[in-house]
Amino acid sequence: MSEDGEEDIKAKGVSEPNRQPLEQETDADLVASIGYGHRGAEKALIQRYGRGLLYLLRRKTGDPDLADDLYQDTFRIALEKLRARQIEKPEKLSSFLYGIASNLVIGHYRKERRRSTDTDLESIERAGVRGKQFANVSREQVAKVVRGLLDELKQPRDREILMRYYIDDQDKEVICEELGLDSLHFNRVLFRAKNRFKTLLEQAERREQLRIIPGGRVK
Amino acid sequence: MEMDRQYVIDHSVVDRYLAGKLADDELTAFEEHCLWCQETLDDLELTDKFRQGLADAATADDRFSGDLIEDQPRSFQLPQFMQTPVYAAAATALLAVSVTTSAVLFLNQDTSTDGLASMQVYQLETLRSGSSDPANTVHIGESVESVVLIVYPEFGAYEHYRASVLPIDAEIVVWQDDDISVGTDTLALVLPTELLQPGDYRVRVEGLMSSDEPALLSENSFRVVTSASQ
Repeated sequence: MSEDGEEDIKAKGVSEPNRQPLEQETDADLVASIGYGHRGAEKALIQRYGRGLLYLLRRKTGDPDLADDLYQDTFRIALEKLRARQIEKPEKLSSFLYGIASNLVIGHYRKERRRSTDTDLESIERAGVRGKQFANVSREQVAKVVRGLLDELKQPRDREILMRYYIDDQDKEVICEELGLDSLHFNRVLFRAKNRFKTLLEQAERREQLRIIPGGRVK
Repeated sequence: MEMDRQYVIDHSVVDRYLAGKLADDELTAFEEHCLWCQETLDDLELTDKFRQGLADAATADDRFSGDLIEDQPRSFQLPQFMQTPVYAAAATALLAVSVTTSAVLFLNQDTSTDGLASMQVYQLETLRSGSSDPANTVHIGESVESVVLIVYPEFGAYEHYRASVLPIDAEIVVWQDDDISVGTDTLALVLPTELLQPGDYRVRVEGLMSSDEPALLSENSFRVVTSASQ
């Protein structure tokens, strides 16, 4: 058995698609590869969609543990259907996954009993799925970074723009009108602030990484 | 509705999504887009953090006192690759400058030598049995603002750790960091020299559990010598 289980190929009388590196395969090709039993393609699917799926589930549920469960269930169901070639539009793989995930979220909150799925992929690994950015930087540190950034702003009006837009959720047009700004100026303030924020977070994360102990555990 | 990265940028979709202002069809299309677009995910996570940080910073809370400039770590662990004593001593000076001088200095990647001149690094040997003299001598020059003491406690399975500096013959804590997490077996303690008068001191590292007495993990002694006291 090769590493990605290539020998586990269903003989269905149809030739396998030409293989290119999995990360470069289109969604349709990835779907076809999974249909042919290509285990590497299944892992590629998870790597391609895992991070986004987990982010959305966490956002929709507000519960990291529930999101993890639904993440597992989404991929279990998706892989079962893909192996059985039960996807009508392979090129719409993201819609397919989104539909499964959304239904699971709705089902959970309706307290429906989820069908247990039987798959030989015991747990959906998140190996290779890129984690959150700046995961090492605590909420307190982020707030300190933002306070420092606000202190750096030379124009008090720029601070007001950020607060109105991101805290008060006011529309850009309203802010521009009330503060007498043009769209370009508004965009520039936001762009500079977020870029500076990213730079400061990267520096905060580097500083935190000095506390990383062997084995990757983080303070 | 299909959505690509350019659409997301042109129509400020990330900001509107986080503000809950997307129409249903845009919402679905955007969330499907997020499943696969790493760039948009990066943007989304960054903006979400920024919004949260702004909200936290805007609250009148003493925890977020905006003391970014003064915030300096009191101690830190050395990465494993720096743990050979010679490398640690040489590298810690650079680390100590980049981490323990002001955050502005660190953030601006100041390459001046002033920071180095204001800091001295010492590896502390363990107490010598049978000798009453401290095992180490720390010379503090006039321009030295901080000393970095490198110690090698044996970290175990404690909840957290505490490092204290006391005079050798008194239980008066001159300096302390009681919020050290599990680290490597090398710890660098940053002491402002203004706290250290000429005399003999000991550095004690203890393991702490909420329900137990502190456990002594290491103790090192050092003698502070200044230009005036010599």
